Amino acid sequence: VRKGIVMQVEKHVLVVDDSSTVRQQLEFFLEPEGYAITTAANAEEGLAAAATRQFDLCIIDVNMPGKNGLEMIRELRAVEGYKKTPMFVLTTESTKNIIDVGTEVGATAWIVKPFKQDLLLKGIRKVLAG
Amino acid sequence: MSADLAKHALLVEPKDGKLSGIAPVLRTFGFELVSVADVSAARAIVATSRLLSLVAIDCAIGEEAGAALLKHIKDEHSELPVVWVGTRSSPAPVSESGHAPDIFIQHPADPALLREDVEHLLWQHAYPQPLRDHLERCCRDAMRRSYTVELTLAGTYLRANRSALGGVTAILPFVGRRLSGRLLVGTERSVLAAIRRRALVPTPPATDAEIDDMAGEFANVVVGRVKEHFVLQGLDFVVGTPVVVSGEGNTLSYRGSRPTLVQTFRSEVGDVRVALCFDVLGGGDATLLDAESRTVVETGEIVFL
Repeated sequence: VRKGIVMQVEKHVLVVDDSSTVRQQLEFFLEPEGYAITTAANAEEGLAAAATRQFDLCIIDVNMPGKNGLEMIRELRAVEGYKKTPMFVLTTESTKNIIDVGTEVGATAWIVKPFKQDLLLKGIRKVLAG
Repeated sequence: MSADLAKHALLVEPKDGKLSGIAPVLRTFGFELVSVADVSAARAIVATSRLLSLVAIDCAIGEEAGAALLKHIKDEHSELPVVWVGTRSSPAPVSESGHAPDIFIQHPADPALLREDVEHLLWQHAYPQPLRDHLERCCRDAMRRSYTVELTLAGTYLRANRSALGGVTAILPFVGRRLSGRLLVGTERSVLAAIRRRALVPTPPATDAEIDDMAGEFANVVVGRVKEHFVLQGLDFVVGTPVVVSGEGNTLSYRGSRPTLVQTFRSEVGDVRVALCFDVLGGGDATLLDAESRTVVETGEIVFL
């Protein structure tokens, strides 16, 4: 970074959802906003991707074949480098009981599908600011 | 995929009773009819049949016996609608617990009015107006927000269980201790392809797998929102994984102890049909969610934890 020039550092976002529709929706919505998107179709793929590089934000579905998204967050929180990484849960689940589990495993925020693009973007900018 | 599992209506009447008039009407709603002549046999069926969706009682089995059966059903199986067929001189009973039949039909009944009464009863029991309105909102919101496509409700009706919903059908089961069922979304492949081109990815053309995934994900979002309706009443269930069946003229049949609610929607890219069908709505309060748990997060909102 040269003196007097502010460089925008690209933020890397990991999207984990078993629906290709949702993965593509987020990819096509967030990439033009300047985010680099990596997608995974299940928790195992997501964990593998997280092991290969440090992501700035993870957006994770709950109900997926195999390990669910909350279990994935619990595992990621135990990994050095992901203890403070923002982790958004993006799911159709909206009840208090399961959101309490989200709190317990260390999720940062809970968003119920179908998501509002403007609110999601605002939330992402908020946690990635600075 | 095909199966032939109809819901049952139990007719409790002596030989040559008054229920012959109601039988054709129930058949038009997809019921298989089971007749018994005494109350103890009726109680045994009520206790064991998971497909039972309606009980019709002929007052000729005896006022006292009929009232006892009514009390038993309303106390132990409150979800079961009861039709009482009587005469001018034998009005519908009210049980000791204060329960009355859901409808009283005076014999002989006009077939058109009978059909109207039974249809109304099935609507009210299976799909009360707030649930129908909620399902419509869920479908419209999901399509608008996910794909910027406006749906307009074109029709709502009940039908027998067997169904053929179109070129692409997503079926999504949900299972709870007191409530189970499934939601189906049916449309043509060309409609989903048009929605995708317009709202999601203009190019390249969608693959079959991507089209199927869209149908499944739409069903997933709608069920998630339908669930809110029940959670607020204290009923919870777990949502399964969508299964998508595609191919021209596919036929899906499924088990369900209640009539199927179908809502058809129009959009500028084509029609979408959504069907909701329940298996079980069990009695007892043991598995109801407590008051604190009966809260849901609004869709789209971000809740920081």
